[in-house]
Amino acid sequence: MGRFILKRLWQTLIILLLVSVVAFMLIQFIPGDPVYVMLGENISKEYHDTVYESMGLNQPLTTQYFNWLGNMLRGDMGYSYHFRKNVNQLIASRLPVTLTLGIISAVVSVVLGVFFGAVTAVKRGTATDTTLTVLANIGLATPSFWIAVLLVYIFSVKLGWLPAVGFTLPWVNFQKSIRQMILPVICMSMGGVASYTRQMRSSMLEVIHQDYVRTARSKGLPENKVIWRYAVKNSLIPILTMASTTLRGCIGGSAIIETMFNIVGMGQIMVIAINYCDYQLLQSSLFFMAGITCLCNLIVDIAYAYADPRIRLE
Amino acid sequence: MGENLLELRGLQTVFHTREGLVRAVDDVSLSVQPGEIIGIVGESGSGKSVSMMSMIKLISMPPGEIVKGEAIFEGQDILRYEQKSPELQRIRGGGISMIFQEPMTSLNPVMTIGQQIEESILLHLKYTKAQARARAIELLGMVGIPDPESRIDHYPNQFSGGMRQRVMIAMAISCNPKLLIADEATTALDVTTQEQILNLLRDIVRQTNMALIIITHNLSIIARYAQRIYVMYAGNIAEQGRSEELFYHPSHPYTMGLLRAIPRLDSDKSARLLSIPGAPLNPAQKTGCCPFAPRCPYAVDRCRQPVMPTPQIYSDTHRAACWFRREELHGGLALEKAHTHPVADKPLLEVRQLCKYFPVTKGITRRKVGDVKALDHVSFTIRQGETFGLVGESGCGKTTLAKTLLRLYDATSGEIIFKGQNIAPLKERHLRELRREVQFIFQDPYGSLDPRQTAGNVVGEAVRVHHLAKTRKEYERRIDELFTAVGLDPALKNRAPHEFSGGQRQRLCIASALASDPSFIICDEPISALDVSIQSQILNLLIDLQAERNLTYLFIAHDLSVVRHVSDRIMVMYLGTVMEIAPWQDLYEHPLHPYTKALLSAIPVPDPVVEANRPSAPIIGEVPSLINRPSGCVFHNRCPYATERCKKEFPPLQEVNEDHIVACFEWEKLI
Repeated sequence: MGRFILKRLWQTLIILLLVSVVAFMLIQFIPGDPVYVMLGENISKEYHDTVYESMGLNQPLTTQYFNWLGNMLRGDMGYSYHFRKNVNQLIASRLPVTLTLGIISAVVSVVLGVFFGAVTAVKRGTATDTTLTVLANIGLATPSFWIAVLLVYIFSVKLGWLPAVGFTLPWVNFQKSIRQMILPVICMSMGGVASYTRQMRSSMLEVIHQDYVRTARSKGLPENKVIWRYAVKNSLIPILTMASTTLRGCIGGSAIIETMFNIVGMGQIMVIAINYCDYQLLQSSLFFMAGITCLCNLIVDIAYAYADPRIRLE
Repeated sequence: MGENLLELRGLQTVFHTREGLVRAVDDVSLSVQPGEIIGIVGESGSGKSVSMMSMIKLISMPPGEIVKGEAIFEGQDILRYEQKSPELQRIRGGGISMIFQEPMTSLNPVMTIGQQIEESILLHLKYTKAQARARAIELLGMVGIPDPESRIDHYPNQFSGGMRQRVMIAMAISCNPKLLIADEATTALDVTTQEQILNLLRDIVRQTNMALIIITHNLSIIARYAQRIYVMYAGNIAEQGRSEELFYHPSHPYTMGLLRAIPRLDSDKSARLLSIPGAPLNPAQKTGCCPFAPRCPYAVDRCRQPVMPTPQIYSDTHRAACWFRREELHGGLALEKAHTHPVADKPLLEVRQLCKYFPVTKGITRRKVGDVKALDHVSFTIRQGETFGLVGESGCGKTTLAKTLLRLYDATSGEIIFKGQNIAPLKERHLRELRREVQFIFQDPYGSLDPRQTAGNVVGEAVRVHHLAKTRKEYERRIDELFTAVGLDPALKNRAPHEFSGGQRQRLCIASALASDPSFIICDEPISALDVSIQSQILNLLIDLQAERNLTYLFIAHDLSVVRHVSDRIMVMYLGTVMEIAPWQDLYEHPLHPYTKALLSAIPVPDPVVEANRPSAPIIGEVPSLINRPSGCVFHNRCPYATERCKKEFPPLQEVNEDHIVACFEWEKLI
């Protein structure tokens, strides 16, 4: 197991290095002077030069790259000219918001999806199966912003039960936080629940016809144990592959949902960085997100090996 | 006769399918006494497994439905219980246990074998966790798993097929069931492993007075182990009786047919196999008459009336579901002489020191760390017109050899001389003539036919590729001719392959192999995927075609009785090396290599008296994986006669007398 993790870590490092080169080269591809592109043409020559130097653009390319990489590795992600803040501070203030929302939505997606998937598979061909499968297909086909608009219209505008915008961290004001989170979490997890349900259903249907499930029944295990200990456990293995995408999603945040509910999270950062040509922010957040993605894949791979001894014992 | 442990009365199980009602089990009654071993024999679709699984409701319901019947087990009717009732769950595993065919997939891959055995024990016996573990270790030791204390925490994928089947047995007997059902439990295993597993089961029965039901399609296995036998056909019991009664006085035309149709280690090779015509009846098409009537050589009008025959009773134990007594069933089945084929002295194919290694790679850089020696210095000669048999267990290199000879694999080294030309180094574009001359028939008639082409197209492909017909008319005529040659109606040529039965598909494969007018055909397990009653049809067809078309065969199989029946000379392989090559009489009457001897003794003969008097020389262990190939003689770690020298040196092939070659240092001492 240790060797497996080491091998995967080594691969992750190589990927990160490649990503850093790509992220760094982006700024080199901008036509014209990056400082003018970023801050506009009508700034003073002195200001331009200061920024130019502070960004290290006067140094050779390789020096620039290694300086930037060194800074990143030391945990210094640079300065955002749009927000007029250190990128570190920016991410530190926004990450908890996104993480809270994201992790809750991810847990909801996986738990409900796996549950519904297992139910539809066990009750295959019944009304329960048909209803849930149709709902899952609708859930998958409906854009989340449309649901957001609909839910806000019904629950906030018409009924006035839930707030339409804003976000409070649960440890600041628990009750308020929950009320504010209900709608965004529904919108963010709906697609996830739907796709996990479908994936789990087909995965379960395959497993349920496996010989070892028949063995479990033949030794007299009660049906609920056959389902949970044998069928569900084995069906979860393909589900884990999907979990990587979900995990990444909860850290990257959903730009659309954050915008809809006016939540100040990570999702907006990239959008703003691109819109306002905030290159240092773009570079750093790109690298940060790539790192997170690699980390998520690593976690899923380890979980995969943990869940399936056939992989662990290769 | 004592009290019955289980009595099944009038069981009827149907499946509601799109094709209609399938009467999978139709009025089946049987009984088992404690400590008894009974056999249920039948082909696919005969209802042998379904009847047993219906008893403990392991079939899926719906579509399955148990229409009527009683199953009295230890005095209570267990068919009364609901599928998911706690009463039935107590009986499953606790009273009646099952072992299934596929050991590779029958264990949960994400639980250790210990957890799976302990789970059963905790479910049925009042044990603590520690006691359950101790019991599991004891059981694993009992079924012959070496070092059970440490292996108990291993996962199923760390065990070989034979070992997994032992684990299944340990699990099945863990709660001291009164009845064990082995459903084709050894079909997927190698012959030497099969013998070990069945001996183990028999020993357990002797020690514990448990009853054992062996479900199989293989009559020979039954002869060796079962005391009483039920023969099933299309959901009905055709005949039942004690082993001797059934094998010496078969009284149902189906049993008679089966016994005549299988080649045996001691049968007369010069006679043609008497095959049962047609294909097994699909239970969906039952009409209520004797289901065997359409294939029965003795059938008269009465047999086709929609009434099941009243059984003929021959003794307390022996009865057959036939309108006729066995004395009335005779004639019309004279033994025919088998076609003989002339064998020339001239070699058609000479293989010299052929090696095929597959590299083993490691790490991200895929650096080569070793070789899997699938074929290691294999040499042999096949003469024009002969059938050269090749036998061996899994991993012996049978299929690799076939593919290398066909140049589907490139040989690592060595020569393949076909009609005087070394074809091993030839480039693909020079192989065109070879591709026409050398054809092949593979094991799986389902996977080897393109489902999107019509049968005629599949067969005609080689004719088109090699431009063997000049006009459309000639092409069509050739296809019709090929269909007729393999015993298929040319009118079927526009159908898709899936509309054909298994035996018919194998005929299609043979027709397409013949299409290019080859001189040499490699048959890789051509009958092992087919039903028993179909196998002899295909064997007869291959033998007839050989005589008609002067073909040379390389006939690969794991079944020594089949190889014996068709082959002139036979080569035995083990882990990629040649162990022995001999003419068929020599090999079967005077085998020299310890491995050949072990293989021969592992093959049961369908004759209980012969079986009882045969010396048994079971070899230990299983075929090792090619990656862990033993040094020296590859067989030394399983050989009872191995010396120090065998562990270090590889014995060269020695010519003992004309045509008989063996690779063993000790052969002279073993005669």
